[in-house]
Amino acid sequence: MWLALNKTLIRSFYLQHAGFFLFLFIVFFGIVAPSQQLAYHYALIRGMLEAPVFLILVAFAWLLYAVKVSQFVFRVIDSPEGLFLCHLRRFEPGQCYLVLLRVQHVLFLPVSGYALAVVGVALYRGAWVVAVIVVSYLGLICGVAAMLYYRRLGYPGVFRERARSVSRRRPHVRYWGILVRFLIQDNRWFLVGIKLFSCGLLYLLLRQQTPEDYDLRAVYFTYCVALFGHGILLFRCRRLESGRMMWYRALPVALWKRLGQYVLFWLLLLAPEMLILGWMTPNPIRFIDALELGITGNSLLILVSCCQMVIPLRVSDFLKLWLVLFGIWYGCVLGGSVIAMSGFFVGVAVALFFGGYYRSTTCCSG
Amino acid sequence: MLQFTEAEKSYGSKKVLEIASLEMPWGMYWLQGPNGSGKTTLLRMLAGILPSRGYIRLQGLSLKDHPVAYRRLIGWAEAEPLYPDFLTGADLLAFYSDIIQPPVGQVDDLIARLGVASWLDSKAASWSAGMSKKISLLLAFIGRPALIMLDEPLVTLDQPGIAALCDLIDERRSTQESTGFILSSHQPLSHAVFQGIQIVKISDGLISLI
Repeated sequence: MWLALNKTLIRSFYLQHAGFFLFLFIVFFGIVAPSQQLAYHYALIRGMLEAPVFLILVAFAWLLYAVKVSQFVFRVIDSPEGLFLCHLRRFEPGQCYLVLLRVQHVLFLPVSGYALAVVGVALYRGAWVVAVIVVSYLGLICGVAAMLYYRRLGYPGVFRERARSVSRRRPHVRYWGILVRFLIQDNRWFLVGIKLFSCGLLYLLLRQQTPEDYDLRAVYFTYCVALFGHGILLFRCRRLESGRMMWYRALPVALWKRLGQYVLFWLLLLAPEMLILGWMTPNPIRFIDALELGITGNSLLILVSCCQMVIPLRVSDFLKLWLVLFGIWYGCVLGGSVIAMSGFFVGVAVALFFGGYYRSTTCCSG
Repeated sequence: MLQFTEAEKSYGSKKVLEIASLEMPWGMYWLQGPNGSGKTTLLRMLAGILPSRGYIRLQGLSLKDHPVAYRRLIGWAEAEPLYPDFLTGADLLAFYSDIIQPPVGQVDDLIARLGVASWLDSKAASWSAGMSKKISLLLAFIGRPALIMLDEPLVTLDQPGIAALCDLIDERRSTQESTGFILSSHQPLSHAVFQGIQIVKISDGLISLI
């Protein structure tokens, strides 16, 4: 039995992960001269004993390794070639468990070997508690892993099916997430270009602001051009919705929830710009000004998006809409009433959305 | 019961449908009419996708006054369903399930019966027309809709798919008496489950029960 386990699990694991182990070996032992190895690792272990955060990080890395090992074992058990391992369950449960525990220990040797050194140094330095914790932690990992293998042997393949079934329902797919995925997958380079342009422009223009020469009007005007690029992204999203996501309108989702999904999407879309603004406060841009710039940018996008949802817009109409909005934006920036303008934009957007969402035929224009 | 009161739909100046007053008791209906007669438009109106004038009520709930409650009663499958290329079947099921909250185990049962499990993890871009159709039928049956509308349900479906669909319809009609069906089909509905189906003719924008 041991021979079969050795061949199917242990040997194949080390053979398949030879490259991984070589990499780890080089990282751990290849960067220091052979004569310095002992001192280097002693210092490393001392660091673990003296800084609990470091030890926790190392323990986490060990846990990741344990997950890697167990995933490999599960894969083998679930595979047609590994089905014969189910016969192990014919043995006494205790005997079977001990064999699996032994397998886990051998697979865990790279970690337990180093952990042994940690325990040794801990004992040498009188850190009994740490030594006990490390030993218990390793014992727990190996014990739980062996128990999971034992359970898996009883139902090979079933867990995978169940996991698939659960994963089918568990990951929550949100509407804003679908729109984000559309931008990332189908408009990746356009999105990156717009983001680089928009964030770069904001950063460069804001950097030039000094207390003696503080004037954000130029920033507002150029930022509006960057927002126009975002408007094109929204236009593409709208086309997706009207062509391939008509079914969403037939789903029982309250209007305010629909609006909530869009708001989240818009906020996410402008999140990099908001981060730049946050980063640039309080110097070179004052907090209140950053807030105003952020709010006005978001309100403009919200209005453009709502207009597209309610009114069937062709490209020419879309451009005309931007021209009008840019005119309003320009006037309000010069007049110093950007917050009033933002309130107006958001108010109109919300009214359009609640009044026109179900009445519009834009969903079927695609 | 489905009620229409002065419902009408126009595309621009062209009136496509005009239903002054019509009551359709629970049952199974087969929409018949030539191409362009307005069958799909009627189904989209009923699904709440296309806005229309007048009133449509289902179980006394008006589509205009109770848009969410009304939509909760509706299951709808398009004739040529389209989904974003990057979404998988599992994504769509998760999305619908989050919103509709179907009974436990119902989705897995539908997956098994329509035989879509093997491509649930593949993206919509790689689906054939038949695969998309099966997914859309599955989505229409999720939850406990009182009225399920299927636009050309048999087109592009293979024989096992048709058999599974007929079983599902039969089951919903026998175990949940309140489930009604409206089907639009140019194919003959010759399966036993469609026996006694009531025919609804659409012609020149007018609807008549036969």
